[in-house]
Amino acid sequence: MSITEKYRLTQMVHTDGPVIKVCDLKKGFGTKVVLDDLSIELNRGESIVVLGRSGSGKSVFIKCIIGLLKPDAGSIHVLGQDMATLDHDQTDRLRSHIGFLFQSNALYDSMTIRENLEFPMRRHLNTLVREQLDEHIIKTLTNVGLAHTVDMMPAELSGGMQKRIALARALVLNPEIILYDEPTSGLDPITSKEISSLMTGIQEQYNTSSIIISHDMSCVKRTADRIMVLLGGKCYAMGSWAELARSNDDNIKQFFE
Amino acid sequence: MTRFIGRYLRELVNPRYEVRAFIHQCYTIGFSSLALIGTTGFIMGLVLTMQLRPSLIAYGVVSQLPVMVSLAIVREIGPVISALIFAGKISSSIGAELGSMRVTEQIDAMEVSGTNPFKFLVVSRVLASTLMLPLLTVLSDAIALYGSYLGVNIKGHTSLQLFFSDVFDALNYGDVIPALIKTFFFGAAVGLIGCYKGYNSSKGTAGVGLAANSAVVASSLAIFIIDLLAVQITDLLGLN
Repeated sequence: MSITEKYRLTQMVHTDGPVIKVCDLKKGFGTKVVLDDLSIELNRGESIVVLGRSGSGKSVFIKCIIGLLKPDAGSIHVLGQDMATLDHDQTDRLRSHIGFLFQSNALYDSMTIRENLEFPMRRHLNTLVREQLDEHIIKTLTNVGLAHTVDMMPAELSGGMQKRIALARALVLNPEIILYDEPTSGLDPITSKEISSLMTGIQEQYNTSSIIISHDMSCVKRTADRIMVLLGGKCYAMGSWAELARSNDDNIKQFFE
Repeated sequence: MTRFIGRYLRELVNPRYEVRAFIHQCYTIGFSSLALIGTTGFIMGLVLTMQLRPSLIAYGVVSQLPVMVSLAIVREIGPVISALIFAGKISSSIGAELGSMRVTEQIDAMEVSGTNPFKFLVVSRVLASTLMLPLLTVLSDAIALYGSYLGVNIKGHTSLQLFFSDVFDALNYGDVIPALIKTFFFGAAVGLIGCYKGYNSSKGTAGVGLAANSAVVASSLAIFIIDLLAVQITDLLGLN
Protein backbone atom coordinates (compact mmCIF):
# COMPACT_ATOMS: atom_id res chain seq x y z
CA MET A 1 0.00 0.00 0.00
CA SER A 2 1.45 3.37 -1.00
CA ILE A 3 1.82 6.30 1.36
CA THR A 4 -1.00 8.17 -0.30
CA GLU A 5 -3.33 5.19 -0.17
CA LYS A 6 -2.44 4.56 3.45
CA TYR A 7 -2.96 8.12 4.58
CA ARG A 8 -5.74 9.26 2.27
CA LEU A 9 -8.13 11.05 4.58
CA THR A 10 -11.37 10.26 2.85
CA GLN A 11 -12.07 7.51 0.45
CA MET A 12 -14.87 8.39 -1.91
CA VAL A 13 -17.64 5.83 -2.20
CA HIS A 14 -18.20 4.98 -5.79
CA THR A 15 -19.70 2.31 -7.97
CA ASP A 16 -17.97 0.00 -10.39
CA GLY A 17 -19.43 1.93 -13.36
CA PRO A 18 -17.65 4.59 -15.40
CA VAL A 19 -15.22 6.79 -13.46
CA ILE A 20 -16.52 9.84 -15.31
CA LYS A 21 -20.04 10.12 -16.68
CA VAL A 22 -21.05 13.33 -18.42
CA CYS A 23 -24.68 13.73 -19.52
CA ASP A 24 -26.08 16.50 -21.74
CA LEU A 25 -23.44 19.01 -20.67
CA LYS A 26 -24.08 22.58 -21.77
CA LYS A 27 -21.70 25.48 -21.28
CA GLY A 28 -21.66 28.88 -22.90
CA PHE A 29 -20.01 32.26 -22.44
CA GLY A 30 -22.42 35.11 -23.11
CA THR A 31 -24.29 34.25 -26.28
CA LYS A 32 -21.63 31.81 -27.51
CA VAL A 33 -22.52 28.17 -26.86
CA VAL A 34 -19.32 26.19 -26.37
CA LEU A 35 -20.59 22.80 -25.22
CA ASP A 36 -24.02 21.68 -26.36
CA ASP A 37 -25.56 18.50 -24.93
CA LEU A 38 -22.23 16.72 -24.67
CA SER A 39 -22.32 13.22 -23.22
CA ILE A 40 -19.44 10.85 -22.60
CA GLU A 41 -18.43 7.99 -20.31
CA LEU A 42 -14.87 7.19 -19.28
CA ASN A 43 -14.32 3.66 -18.03
CA ARG A 44 -11.76 2.54 -15.47
CA GLY A 45 -8.29 2.20 -16.95
CA GLU A 46 -9.41 3.76 -20.22
CA SER A 47 -7.89 6.68 -22.05
CA ILE A 48 -10.02 8.97 -24.19
CA VAL A 49 -8.47 11.63 -26.39
CA VAL A 50 -10.58 14.67 -27.27
CA LEU A 51 -9.87 16.07 -30.71
CA GLY A 52 -11.24 19.34 -31.95
CA ARG A 53 -10.32 22.60 -33.54
CA SER A 54 -8.99 25.48 -31.45
CA GLY A 55 -11.82 27.16 -29.57
CA SER A 56 -14.08 24.12 -29.86
CA GLY A 57 -14.41 23.87 -26.07
CA LYS A 58 -12.01 21.02 -25.28
CA SER A 59 -10.36 22.80 -22.34
CA VAL A 60 -13.74 24.07 -21.16
CA PHE A 61 -14.92 20.46 -21.12
CA ILE A 62 -12.21 19.19 -18.77
CA LYS A 63 -12.39 22.33 -16.63
CA CYS A 64 -16.09 21.56 -16.12
CA ILE A 65 -15.18 18.02 -15.05
CA ILE A 66 -12.70 19.20 -12.41
CA GLY A 67 -15.08 21.94 -11.24
CA LEU A 68 -13.07 24.97 -12.36
CA LEU A 69 -16.04 25.97 -14.51
CA LYS A 70 -19.68 25.50 -13.67
CA PRO A 71 -21.85 23.90 -16.35
CA ASP A 72 -25.00 25.74 -17.47
CA ALA A 73 -26.92 22.46 -17.69
CA GLY A 74 -26.39 18.73 -17.62
CA SER A 75 -24.71 16.51 -15.08
CA ILE A 76 -21.17 15.37 -14.35
CA HIS A 77 -20.55 12.31 -12.20
CA VAL A 78 -16.97 11.68 -11.13
CA LEU A 79 -16.25 8.42 -9.28
CA GLY A 80 -19.98 8.12 -8.71
CA GLN A 81 -20.31 11.59 -7.17
CA ASP A 82 -22.58 14.18 -8.75
CA MET A 83 -20.35 17.28 -8.94
CA ALA A 84 -23.36 19.61 -8.68
CA THR A 85 -24.36 18.27 -5.26
CA LEU A 86 -20.91 18.45 -3.62
CA ASP A 87 -20.02 21.24 -1.23
CA HIS A 88 -16.62 22.94 -1.29
CA ASP A 89 -14.91 20.47 1.04
CA GLN A 90 -16.33 17.45 -0.74
CA THR A 91 -15.22 18.87 -4.09
CA ASP A 92 -11.71 19.34 -2.70
CA ARG A 93 -11.65 15.77 -1.42
CA LEU A 94 -12.87 14.48 -4.77
CA ARG A 95 -10.16 16.49 -6.51
CA SER A 96 -7.51 14.56 -4.57
CA HIS A 97 -8.53 11.60 -6.78
CA ILE A 98 -8.02 13.59 -9.98
CA GLY A 99 -4.73 14.79 -11.42
CA PHE A 100 -4.78 17.74 -13.80
CA LEU A 101 -1.97 18.59 -16.17
CA PHE A 102 -2.30 22.19 -17.33
CA GLN A 103 -1.34 23.26 -20.82
CA SER A 104 0.98 25.90 -19.37
CA ASN A 105 2.23 23.44 -16.67
CA ALA A 106 1.12 25.97 -14.02
CA LEU A 107 4.08 25.19 -11.76
CA TYR A 108 4.30 27.59 -8.81
CA ASP A 109 7.28 29.62 -9.94
CA SER A 110 8.08 31.01 -6.50
CA MET A 111 8.44 27.50 -5.06
CA THR A 112 11.05 24.78 -5.54
CA ILE A 113 10.11 21.51 -7.25
CA ARG A 114 9.91 19.88 -3.81
CA GLU A 115 7.48 22.56 -2.61
CA ASN A 116 5.45 22.25 -5.82
CA LEU A 117 4.90 18.56 -5.17
CA GLU A 118 4.48 19.04 -1.45
CA PHE A 119 1.72 21.60 -1.91
CA PRO A 120 -1.16 19.19 -2.73
CA MET A 121 0.19 16.65 -0.23
CA ARG A 122 0.08 19.15 2.62
CA ARG A 123 -3.58 19.80 1.80
CA HIS A 124 -4.71 16.21 1.60
CA LEU A 125 -2.14 14.21 3.55
CA ASN A 126 -1.40 16.54 6.43
CA THR A 127 -0.67 13.68 8.83
CA LEU A 128 2.53 12.81 6.99
CA VAL A 129 5.83 13.73 8.61
CA ARG A 130 8.74 15.36 6.77
CA GLU A 131 10.55 12.07 6.00
CA GLN A 132 7.42 10.50 4.55
CA LEU A 133 6.72 13.55 2.41
CA ASP A 134 10.29 13.56 1.11
CA GLU A 135 10.25 9.83 0.43
CA HIS A 136 7.05 10.10 -1.60
CA ILE A 137 8.20 13.20 -3.49
CA ILE A 138 11.48 11.54 -4.51
CA LYS A 139 9.63 8.39 -5.53
CA THR A 140 7.21 10.36 -7.72
CA LEU A 141 10.00 12.40 -9.27
CA THR A 142 11.94 9.19 -9.97
CA ASN A 143 8.92 7.91 -11.90
CA VAL A 144 9.22 10.88 -14.27
CA GLY A 145 13.03 10.63 -14.32
CA LEU A 146 13.75 13.92 -12.56
CA ALA A 147 14.62 13.11 -8.94
CA HIS A 148 17.75 15.26 -9.20
CA THR A 149 15.71 18.43 -9.75
CA VAL A 150 14.01 18.29 -6.35
CA ASP A 151 15.62 21.46 -5.00
CA MET A 152 15.64 23.41 -8.25
CA MET A 153 13.26 26.20 -9.25
CA PRO A 154 10.87 25.67 -12.19
CA ALA A 155 12.56 28.47 -14.15
CA GLU A 156 15.82 26.47 -14.12
CA LEU A 157 14.24 23.63 -16.09
CA SER A 158 13.57 23.17 -19.80
CA GLY A 159 10.01 23.07 -21.19
CA GLY A 160 10.03 19.27 -21.39
CA MET A 161 11.34 18.94 -17.84
CA GLN A 162 8.70 21.38 -16.57
CA LYS A 163 6.06 19.25 -18.27
CA ARG A 164 7.40 16.15 -16.50
CA ILE A 165 7.38 17.96 -13.16
CA ALA A 166 3.81 19.10 -13.79
CA LEU A 167 2.96 15.48 -14.50
CA ALA A 168 4.68 14.42 -11.28
CA ARG A 169 2.62 16.97 -9.37
CA ALA A 170 -0.54 15.62 -10.98
CA LEU A 171 0.51 12.12 -9.88
CA VAL A 172 1.67 12.89 -6.37
CA LEU A 173 -1.64 11.96 -4.74
CA ASN A 174 -1.91 8.71 -6.73
CA PRO A 175 -5.03 9.88 -8.57
CA GLU A 176 -7.49 7.51 -10.16
CA ILE A 177 -8.15 9.91 -13.03
CA ILE A 178 -5.78 12.24 -14.89
CA LEU A 179 -6.97 15.05 -17.13
CA TYR A 180 -4.35 16.24 -19.61
CA ASP A 181 -4.75 19.62 -21.31
CA GLU A 182 -2.51 19.52 -24.38
CA PRO A 183 0.37 17.66 -22.69
CA THR A 184 2.75 17.95 -25.66
CA SER A 185 2.01 21.47 -26.85
CA GLY A 186 5.10 23.61 -27.37
CA LEU A 187 7.47 20.64 -27.22
CA ASP A 188 9.80 19.36 -29.92
CA PRO A 189 8.86 16.00 -31.54
CA ILE A 190 11.40 14.00 -29.53
CA THR A 191 10.36 15.42 -26.16
CA SER A 192 6.74 15.11 -27.23
CA LYS A 193 7.31 11.40 -27.90
CA GLU A 194 8.97 11.01 -24.48
CA ILE A 195 6.02 12.65 -22.75
CA SER A 196 3.57 10.43 -24.65
CA SER A 197 5.51 7.34 -23.60
CA LEU A 198 5.59 8.59 -20.05
CA MET A 199 1.82 9.03 -20.11
CA THR A 200 1.20 5.48 -21.28
CA GLY A 201 3.73 4.17 -18.76
CA ILE A 202 1.99 6.07 -15.97
CA GLN A 203 -1.38 4.74 -17.06
CA GLU A 204 -0.09 1.19 -16.66
CA GLN A 205 1.87 1.81 -13.47
CA TYR A 206 -0.77 3.83 -11.62
CA ASN A 207 -3.79 2.18 -13.30
CA THR A 208 -5.30 5.57 -14.05
CA SER A 209 -8.11 6.56 -16.38
CA SER A 210 -7.49 9.63 -18.46
CA ILE A 211 -9.00 12.25 -20.72
CA ILE A 212 -6.40 13.81 -22.97
CA ILE A 213 -6.79 16.92 -25.06
CA SER A 214 -4.27 16.99 -27.84
CA HIS A 215 -3.62 18.19 -31.35
CA ASP A 216 -0.47 16.12 -31.59
CA MET A 217 -1.57 13.12 -33.67
CA SER A 218 1.45 11.00 -32.77
CA CYS A 219 0.57 11.53 -29.11
CA VAL A 220 -3.07 10.74 -29.88
CA LYS A 221 -2.16 7.50 -31.65
CA ARG A 222 0.15 6.47 -28.84
CA THR A 223 -2.18 7.20 -25.93
CA ALA A 224 -5.80 6.83 -27.08
CA ASP A 225 -8.05 3.86 -26.42
CA ARG A 226 -10.91 5.88 -27.86
CA ILE A 227 -10.98 9.22 -29.64
CA MET A 228 -13.82 11.72 -29.38
CA VAL A 229 -14.12 14.37 -32.07
CA LEU A 230 -15.68 17.51 -30.65
CA LEU A 231 -17.51 19.63 -33.19
CA GLY A 232 -20.05 22.37 -32.60
CA GLY A 233 -19.94 21.62 -28.89
CA LYS A 234 -21.16 18.07 -29.46
CA CYS A 235 -19.55 14.65 -29.64
CA TYR A 236 -19.38 14.39 -33.42
CA ALA A 237 -17.68 11.02 -33.56
CA MET A 238 -16.26 8.45 -31.17
CA GLY A 239 -14.11 5.46 -31.94
CA SER A 240 -10.68 3.91 -31.91
CA TRP A 241 -7.80 5.32 -33.94
CA ALA A 242 -8.26 2.59 -36.56
CA GLU A 243 -11.98 3.25 -36.87
CA LEU A 244 -11.70 7.02 -37.21
CA ALA A 245 -8.66 6.90 -39.48
CA ARG A 246 -10.76 4.89 -41.97
CA SER A 247 -13.60 7.44 -41.94
CA ASN A 248 -14.55 9.23 -45.12
CA ASP A 249 -16.18 12.10 -43.25
CA ASP A 250 -14.32 15.32 -44.09
CA ASN A 251 -14.69 16.66 -40.54
CA ILE A 252 -12.86 13.59 -39.23
CA LYS A 253 -10.43 13.05 -42.10
CA GLN A 254 -8.87 16.48 -41.65
CA PHE A 255 -7.36 15.41 -38.32
CA PHE A 256 -5.85 12.23 -39.71
CA GLU A 257 -4.39 13.57 -42.95
CA MET B 1 -14.75 45.31 -5.59
CA THR B 2 -17.50 45.32 -2.94
CA ARG B 3 -18.07 41.60 -3.48
CA PHE B 4 -14.32 41.03 -3.30
CA ILE B 5 -14.13 42.84 0.06
CA GLY B 6 -17.16 40.88 1.28
CA ARG B 7 -15.51 37.61 0.30
CA TYR B 8 -12.28 38.69 1.99
CA LEU B 9 -14.08 39.38 5.27
CA ARG B 10 -15.93 36.06 5.04
CA GLU B 11 -12.78 34.05 4.26
CA LEU B 12 -10.85 35.93 6.96
CA VAL B 13 -12.98 34.49 9.75
CA ASN B 14 -13.69 31.05 8.27
CA PRO B 15 -11.22 28.27 9.08
CA ARG B 16 -8.89 26.88 7.73
CA TYR B 17 -6.28 29.55 8.48
CA GLU B 18 -3.26 29.78 6.23
CA VAL B 19 -0.85 30.64 9.05
CA ARG B 20 2.35 29.70 7.18
CA ALA B 21 1.36 31.77 4.15
CA PHE B 22 0.45 34.71 6.42
CA ILE B 23 3.79 34.62 8.26
CA HIS B 24 5.62 34.36 4.96
CA GLN B 25 3.73 37.38 3.63
CA CYS B 26 4.41 39.39 6.81
CA TYR B 27 8.10 38.79 6.22
CA THR B 28 7.92 39.51 2.48
CA ILE B 29 5.71 42.58 2.76
CA GLY B 30 7.06 44.00 6.02
CA PHE B 31 10.74 43.20 5.94
CA SER B 32 11.20 43.99 2.25
CA SER B 33 9.73 47.48 2.75
CA LEU B 34 11.80 48.26 5.83
CA ALA B 35 14.82 49.87 4.15
CA LEU B 36 12.77 51.90 1.68
CA ILE B 37 10.31 53.25 4.24
CA GLY B 38 13.09 53.88 6.79
CA THR B 39 15.16 55.85 4.26
CA THR B 40 12.15 57.84 3.14
CA GLY B 41 11.26 58.60 6.74
CA PHE B 42 14.76 59.84 7.51
CA ILE B 43 14.84 62.15 4.47
CA MET B 44 11.30 63.35 5.23
CA GLY B 45 12.23 64.39 8.80
CA LEU B 46 15.47 66.03 7.76
CA VAL B 47 14.01 67.98 4.83
CA LEU B 48 10.92 69.08 6.72
CA THR B 49 13.10 70.46 9.52
CA MET B 50 15.40 72.32 7.13
CA GLN B 51 12.43 73.78 5.22
CA LEU B 52 10.57 74.90 8.35
CA ARG B 53 13.55 76.42 10.13
CA PRO B 54 13.82 79.71 8.15
CA SER B 55 10.09 80.42 8.49
CA LEU B 56 10.12 79.77 12.22
CA ILE B 57 13.19 81.99 12.64
CA ALA B 58 11.33 84.76 10.80
CA TYR B 59 8.47 84.51 13.32
CA GLY B 60 10.87 84.14 16.23
CA VAL B 61 9.60 80.72 17.26
CA VAL B 62 12.46 78.49 16.19
CA SER B 63 12.32 76.79 19.60
CA GLN B 64 8.98 75.32 18.49
CA LEU B 65 10.66 73.42 15.64
CA PRO B 66 10.58 69.97 17.34
CA VAL B 67 6.93 70.51 18.24
CA MET B 68 5.87 71.46 14.72
CA VAL B 69 7.89 68.73 13.03
CA SER B 70 6.71 66.00 15.38
CA LEU B 71 3.03 66.97 14.99
CA ALA B 72 3.34 67.12 11.21
CA ILE B 73 5.15 63.80 11.01
CA VAL B 74 3.12 61.80 13.49
CA ARG B 75 -0.32 63.10 12.55
CA GLU B 76 -0.11 63.34 8.80
CA ILE B 77 3.08 63.19 6.81
CA GLY B 78 4.48 59.99 8.34
CA PRO B 79 1.38 57.83 7.81
CA VAL B 80 0.55 59.22 4.37
CA ILE B 81 4.06 59.18 2.90
CA SER B 82 4.74 55.70 4.32
CA ALA B 83 1.44 54.47 2.89
CA LEU B 84 2.19 55.95 -0.53
CA ILE B 85 5.66 54.35 -0.61
CA PHE B 86 4.11 51.10 0.61
CA ALA B 87 1.45 51.30 -2.11
CA GLY B 88 4.07 51.87 -4.79
CA LYS B 89 6.10 48.89 -3.67
CA ILE B 90 3.59 46.37 -2.34
CA SER B 91 0.41 47.01 -4.29
CA SER B 92 2.21 46.80 -7.63
CA SER B 93 4.13 43.71 -6.57
CA ILE B 94 0.96 41.95 -5.37
CA GLY B 95 -0.92 43.00 -8.52
CA ALA B 96 1.84 41.73 -10.81
CA GLU B 97 2.41 38.51 -8.85
CA LEU B 98 -1.24 37.49 -8.68
CA GLY B 99 -1.84 38.68 -12.24
CA SER B 100 1.00 36.51 -13.46
CA MET B 101 -0.30 33.56 -11.44
CA ARG B 102 -3.74 34.03 -12.97
CA VAL B 103 -2.37 34.18 -16.53
CA THR B 104 -0.18 31.08 -16.07
CA GLU B 105 -3.06 29.11 -14.50
CA GLN B 106 -1.25 28.79 -11.16
CA ILE B 107 -4.37 29.97 -9.34
CA ASP B 108 -6.42 27.27 -11.09
CA ALA B 109 -3.72 24.75 -10.19
CA MET B 110 -4.07 25.70 -6.52
CA GLU B 111 -7.81 25.20 -6.68
CA VAL B 112 -7.34 21.81 -8.32
CA SER B 113 -4.89 20.90 -5.54
CA GLY B 114 -7.66 21.37 -3.01
CA THR B 115 -6.44 24.73 -1.77
CA ASN B 116 -8.68 27.74 -1.52
CA PRO B 117 -6.58 30.18 -3.58
CA PHE B 118 -8.49 33.18 -2.26
CA LYS B 119 -7.59 32.31 1.31
CA PHE B 120 -4.04 31.27 0.50
CA LEU B 121 -3.18 34.21 -1.75
CA VAL B 122 -5.55 37.06 -0.97
CA VAL B 123 -6.38 36.77 2.73
CA SER B 124 -2.75 36.19 3.73
CA ARG B 125 -1.54 39.20 1.70
CA VAL B 126 -4.27 41.63 2.74
CA LEU B 127 -3.97 40.71 6.40
CA ALA B 128 -0.18 41.00 6.26
CA SER B 129 -0.29 44.42 4.61
CA THR B 130 -2.97 45.57 7.09
CA LEU B 131 -0.74 44.67 10.03
CA MET B 132 2.65 45.54 8.57
CA LEU B 133 1.95 49.11 7.47
CA PRO B 134 1.20 50.43 11.01
CA LEU B 135 4.45 48.86 12.24
CA LEU B 136 6.37 50.35 9.34
CA THR B 137 4.76 53.74 9.97
CA VAL B 138 5.79 53.72 13.63
CA LEU B 139 9.32 52.89 12.55
CA SER B 140 9.26 55.52 9.82
CA ASP B 141 7.99 58.17 12.27
CA ALA B 142 10.78 57.33 14.71
CA ILE B 143 13.45 57.54 12.01
CA ALA B 144 11.90 60.77 10.66
CA LEU B 145 12.11 62.33 14.12
CA TYR B 146 15.73 61.27 14.37
CA GLY B 147 16.30 62.84 10.92
CA SER B 148 14.66 65.98 12.22
CA TYR B 149 16.98 65.98 15.25
CA LEU B 150 19.96 65.84 12.88
CA GLY B 151 18.36 68.63 10.80
CA VAL B 152 18.03 70.84 13.88
CA ASN B 153 21.70 70.27 14.67
CA ILE B 154 22.94 71.23 11.22
CA LYS B 155 22.50 74.92 11.96
CA GLY B 156 22.00 74.88 15.68
CA HIS B 157 22.57 72.74 18.70
CA THR B 158 20.09 70.69 20.67
CA SER B 159 20.74 67.59 22.69
CA LEU B 160 18.94 64.36 21.73
CA GLN B 161 17.33 64.27 25.16
CA LEU B 162 16.01 67.84 24.91
CA PHE B 163 14.76 67.35 21.38
CA PHE B 164 12.78 64.21 22.21
CA SER B 165 11.57 65.73 25.45
CA ASP B 166 10.02 68.57 23.39
CA VAL B 167 8.60 66.02 20.94
CA PHE B 168 6.92 63.89 23.61
CA ASP B 169 5.61 66.97 25.43
CA ALA B 170 3.96 68.10 22.18
CA LEU B 171 2.35 64.77 21.35
CA ASN B 172 -0.67 63.30 23.07
CA TYR B 173 -2.80 60.22 22.51
CA GLY B 174 -5.18 62.23 20.32
CA ASP B 175 -2.31 62.79 17.91
CA VAL B 176 -0.89 59.28 17.89
CA ILE B 177 -3.86 56.90 18.09
CA PRO B 178 -6.04 58.23 15.21
CA ALA B 179 -2.95 58.48 13.00
CA LEU B 180 -2.06 54.90 13.82
CA ILE B 181 -5.61 53.63 13.30
CA LYS B 182 -5.81 55.11 9.83
CA THR B 183 -2.66 53.26 8.80
CA PHE B 184 -4.51 49.95 9.33
CA PHE B 185 -7.06 51.15 6.78
CA PHE B 186 -4.30 52.33 4.43
CA GLY B 187 -2.65 48.90 4.67
CA ALA B 188 -5.93 47.08 4.08
CA ALA B 189 -6.68 49.28 1.06
CA VAL B 190 -3.23 48.69 -0.44
CA GLY B 191 -3.53 44.92 0.03
CA LEU B 192 -7.13 44.67 -1.14
CA ILE B 193 -6.63 46.76 -4.27
CA GLY B 194 -3.40 44.97 -5.23
CA CYS B 195 -5.04 41.58 -4.75
CA TYR B 196 -8.25 42.61 -6.53
CA LYS B 197 -6.41 43.89 -9.58
CA GLY B 198 -4.08 40.88 -9.75
CA TYR B 199 -6.60 38.18 -8.90
CA ASN B 200 -9.03 39.40 -11.54
CA SER B 201 -6.47 40.23 -14.19
CA SER B 202 -7.04 39.01 -17.72
CA LYS B 203 -5.82 39.75 -21.27
CA GLY B 204 -2.59 37.77 -20.91
CA THR B 205 0.75 39.35 -20.13
CA ALA B 206 -0.53 42.84 -21.00
CA GLY B 207 -3.11 42.34 -18.24
CA VAL B 208 -0.32 41.69 -15.72
CA GLY B 209 1.27 45.09 -16.41
CA LEU B 210 -2.11 46.73 -16.33
CA ALA B 211 -2.92 45.07 -12.99
CA ALA B 212 0.33 46.30 -11.43
CA ASN B 213 -0.07 49.80 -12.79
CA SER B 214 -3.73 50.27 -11.91
CA ALA B 215 -3.12 48.77 -8.45
CA VAL B 216 -0.64 51.55 -7.62
CA VAL B 217 -2.85 54.31 -9.01
CA ALA B 218 -6.00 53.08 -7.27
CA SER B 219 -4.18 52.41 -3.96
CA SER B 220 -2.64 55.89 -3.92
CA LEU B 221 -6.01 57.47 -4.58
CA ALA B 222 -7.62 55.29 -1.91
CA ILE B 223 -5.01 56.43 0.62
CA PHE B 224 -5.93 60.11 0.07
CA ILE B 225 -9.65 59.36 0.26
CA ILE B 226 -9.24 57.38 3.49
CA ASP B 227 -7.06 60.18 4.87
CA LEU B 228 -9.75 62.71 4.05
CA LEU B 229 -12.39 60.59 5.77
CA ALA B 230 -10.10 59.99 8.76
CA VAL B 231 -9.57 63.74 9.22
CA GLN B 232 -13.31 64.36 9.10
CA ILE B 233 -13.99 61.59 11.61
CA THR B 234 -11.30 62.70 14.07
CA ASP B 235 -12.63 66.25 13.73
CA LEU B 236 -16.16 65.09 14.49
CA LEU B 237 -14.88 63.18 17.50
CA GLY B 238 -13.10 66.31 18.71
CA LEU B 239 -9.64 64.77 18.47
CA ASN B 240 -8.16 67.50 16.26
